[in-house]
Amino acid sequence: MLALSLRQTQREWRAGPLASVFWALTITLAALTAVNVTSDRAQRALTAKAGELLAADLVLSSRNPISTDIQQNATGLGLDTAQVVSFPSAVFAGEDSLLVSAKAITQGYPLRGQLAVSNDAYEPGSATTALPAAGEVWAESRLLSALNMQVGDSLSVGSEVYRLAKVLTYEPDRTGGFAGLSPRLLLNLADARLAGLLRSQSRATWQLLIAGQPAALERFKNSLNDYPDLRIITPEQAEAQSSNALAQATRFLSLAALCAVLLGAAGMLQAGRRYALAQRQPVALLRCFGLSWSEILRLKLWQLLWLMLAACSAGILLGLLAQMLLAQQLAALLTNQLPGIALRPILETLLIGVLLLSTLCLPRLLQLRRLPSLTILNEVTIQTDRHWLLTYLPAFITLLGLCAWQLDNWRLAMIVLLGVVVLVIALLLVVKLVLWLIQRLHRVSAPEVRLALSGLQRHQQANTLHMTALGLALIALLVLGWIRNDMVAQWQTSLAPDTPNRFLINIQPDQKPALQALLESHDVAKLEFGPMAIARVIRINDVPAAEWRPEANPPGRRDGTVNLSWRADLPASNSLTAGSWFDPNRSTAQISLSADWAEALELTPGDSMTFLSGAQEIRGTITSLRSVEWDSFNINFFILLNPAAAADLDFQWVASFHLSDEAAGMLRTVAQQFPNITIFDAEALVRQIADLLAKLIRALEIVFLFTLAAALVVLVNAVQSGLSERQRETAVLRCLGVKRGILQRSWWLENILLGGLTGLLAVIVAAVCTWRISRDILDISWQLQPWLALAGLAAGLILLPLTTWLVSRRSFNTAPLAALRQHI
Amino acid sequence: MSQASASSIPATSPDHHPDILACHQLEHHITGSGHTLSILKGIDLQLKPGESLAISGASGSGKTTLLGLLAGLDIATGGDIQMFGQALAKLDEEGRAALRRQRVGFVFQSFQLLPTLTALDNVLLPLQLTGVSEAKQKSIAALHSVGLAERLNHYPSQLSGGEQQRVALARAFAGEPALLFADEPTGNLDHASGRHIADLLFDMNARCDTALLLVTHDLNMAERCQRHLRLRDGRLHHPVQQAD
Repeated sequence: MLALSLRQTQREWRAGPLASVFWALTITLAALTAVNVTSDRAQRALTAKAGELLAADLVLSSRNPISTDIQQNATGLGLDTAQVVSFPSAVFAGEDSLLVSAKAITQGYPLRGQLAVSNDAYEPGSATTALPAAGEVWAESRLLSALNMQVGDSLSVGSEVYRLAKVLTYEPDRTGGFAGLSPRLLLNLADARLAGLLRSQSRATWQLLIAGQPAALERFKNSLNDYPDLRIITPEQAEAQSSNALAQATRFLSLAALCAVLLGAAGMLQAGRRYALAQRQPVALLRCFGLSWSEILRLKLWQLLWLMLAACSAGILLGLLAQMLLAQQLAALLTNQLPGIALRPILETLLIGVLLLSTLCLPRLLQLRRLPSLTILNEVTIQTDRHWLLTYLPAFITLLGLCAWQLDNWRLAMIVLLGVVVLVIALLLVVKLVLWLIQRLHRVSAPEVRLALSGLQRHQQANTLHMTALGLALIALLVLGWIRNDMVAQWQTSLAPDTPNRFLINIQPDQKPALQALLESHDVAKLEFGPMAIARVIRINDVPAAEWRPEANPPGRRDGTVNLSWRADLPASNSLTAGSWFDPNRSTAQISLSADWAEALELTPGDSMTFLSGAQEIRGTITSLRSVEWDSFNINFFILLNPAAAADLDFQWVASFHLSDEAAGMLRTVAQQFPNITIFDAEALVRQIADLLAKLIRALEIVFLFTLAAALVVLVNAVQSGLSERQRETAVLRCLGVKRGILQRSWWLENILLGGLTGLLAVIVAAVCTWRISRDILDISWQLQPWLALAGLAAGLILLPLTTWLVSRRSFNTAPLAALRQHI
Repeated sequence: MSQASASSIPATSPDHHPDILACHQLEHHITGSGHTLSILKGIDLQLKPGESLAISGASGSGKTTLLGLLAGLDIATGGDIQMFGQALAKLDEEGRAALRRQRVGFVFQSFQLLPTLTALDNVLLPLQLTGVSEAKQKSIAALHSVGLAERLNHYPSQLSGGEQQRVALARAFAGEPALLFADEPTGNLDHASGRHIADLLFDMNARCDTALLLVTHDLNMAERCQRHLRLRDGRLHHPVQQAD
């Protein structure tokens, strides 16, 4: 039976439907493998990175040196500790100097993850457990290229000269923000003290890294209540902040894969139907020859098994190849290497393959049991898909489960699948409506038009299938294209060509007019100034700040120093989520908080906060909460006041602007004229993010290709299923003397009409779907995309006639007799 | 207009060998739209091993239905059919299929070749499925005997109607069946091809000593069988020479 089933599979392969099932399953599994293996690797990388993001299990952060009592307490509980002090500093090498982000560390750093170093600026790094020795520093390659240095050269920092011993290629707790803008210089804490670097550091951040057993960590955390000035950072917080882009990307990839899966499933349903129809004659014949149903079923099951093995192997192999490309793009979103390919997602895909084949194709084959052997004598067409519930219910349940698994949301899965069902019903109704209209157009038209319109009516079943298939395919492609454009537009708005790439801080109020004039004379773009005062939160709702929600840990500082700013209008990259913007007629202080900050402290409009800035105390009421686009590179603050409330505060200005590469020389003038101003160069970071986005977009396009392939399988299947009937009809009409030209013109007219209607419906449904998906799944703003809508309409108008023409063009060129003989 | 001599049980063969196929008081009705249509009324017939019996009749007279019932492809609404000594009514569809296996051959009016298989594969498939030994050699020999030795690897669409029916004959006889059902085997062929197929059919029937039940509207072909009965108004009659 094994050998026979294999031979029979080979024989039936040539007939078409079996090959269509194979291609539909292969493409579905390839898309699933590619996306699921990549997501799994990315997820494991993130999980592994959670601890590494901090280089510890817990980090205490302060703007002042952390008490040694705390460190001793941690050591006493059996926890490992290390100290890290980060501060901006200047490095000198010969005539050149560079602002660096220095990091002084003690033995044990990093407690989680590893540093990686190389001996050359252009070599890939390798992990190391060593740390810079006394008299040595390690630096990022950016520093070497900026100062034209090599490993082994000397540089001075503070009062000391150090040897540049290694190139630092990776540090687990490297984050973005201002600290991430300038190149890293790593040295040991004792050296930093020796060089006097920490003596007058007001901008240093002191951190104590802690790692160890969870129970000990918990006891240690509880002991920190006596130190309200400390900020406690956990790996979860660090991960939440860093993985947003990756989470959004993998969610979109899942969605794209789901489209490919749904289309692939539609292709399998169609191909399965064609296969079952094609099997009616052989099965009836085999019954005549005396084969029992169980023998026939066994033969068919073996054949499906061979098919499944071939499709699963091909699909998984193709998927693994595609995931290599995907992983390459997504790896850029992570700072470390992706872990290897796990077996689990591959086994899951294999299981899905078995499930799809057995619920989408097998029920139709099982219905052949009801096929009376007598049909072989009577040659009557027996409806084998009369039991539609038995045929479609297993498929619906499988696809619902698959959608829910892929989207991780049952409600959404139901929406997606019901959307597809609604579409099918809508298509059916439209076809009916068109046919109703045809009744009225029938008598007044030219022969071609009459033939085309009556063709729509005659081929009602096949046309409904074509429209549904193309409609589904177009909707999937339009939804993906639509969302891709929305996502890319959103990313690119935050990274427009004139995105601010230079930041100035510490601008004294009297320096602002001269500095502004200087900057404007050099045509900088997007110049924006913001006032900034340093303050402390002393009370929240008249409760001492330390006692207000002590367990909360907002993204910024809560008790220590905060940066206050004030302005009359809502910043461009902010939008109100609660309350109303400052009322200029109110004399009392009004406060606007960033929504995430307020949420962490459970603050809402109406609550009060009291700040101390210098000697001045400000008590104000929270009047609004803002959603802030932190990645817009504009100047943003967690806390904003109305200008009147801050009138008497001591403050400095901060500025952001875009400076072209050609004009970068003007920064030297700024540095010379205003030596106290600190300049941050974010150009490299902006470029790096733009590069990440480009890679992300490429990753999306790879998955998009699978969807496109699945869509083509669906369309070709739909066209092929009605082909035999069409060929016969063409042959009969030609025998009856209808000219080939008239036949061809009416054929084109019929298909263009169908394609146009399908395109229109697809655009409408895709617009509704994307609106929901953008809002509910991806959390991005939805835009009407007229060009994409037109493209959808045009695709319908072109794709349906063209595909059907390519598949069925031979029927016009074959001699009527030969065509009729094939269909005897 | 036919002038057949009516007979209620006319189809008994003369010798005393056990019947390979027999039916007694066979009835078949179709109910639809509130009406009952009687297609077959009290049919009796017997067929001995190696014997050939033709059943002729006008289109729509129920010939093919009778053949289908006798072959166990459908269940009669009344009466009794015995094939190889077993009552078909007592067997389920699986049992009836098992009875046909390796012992019954079919030739159809529209050939019923599988379009995706070559001539050889079409002959080979039932032999392989029923586990006949040396299936390939037997298939090639069968195709050789119908004069298609040169067309083994041709697909049905590459063969003429007569050639396709010759493949079907090869397929029917390759399994050396004890009983062959032929449903209008020349119905889709021109006169010359039809005569050639009829020659081959009777020649192979004689060589293999197969019992043949032939359903046809071609009286010339029917007359070549040892016995000839005519189906009219749901009953079997002995035909007269001038009929039709």
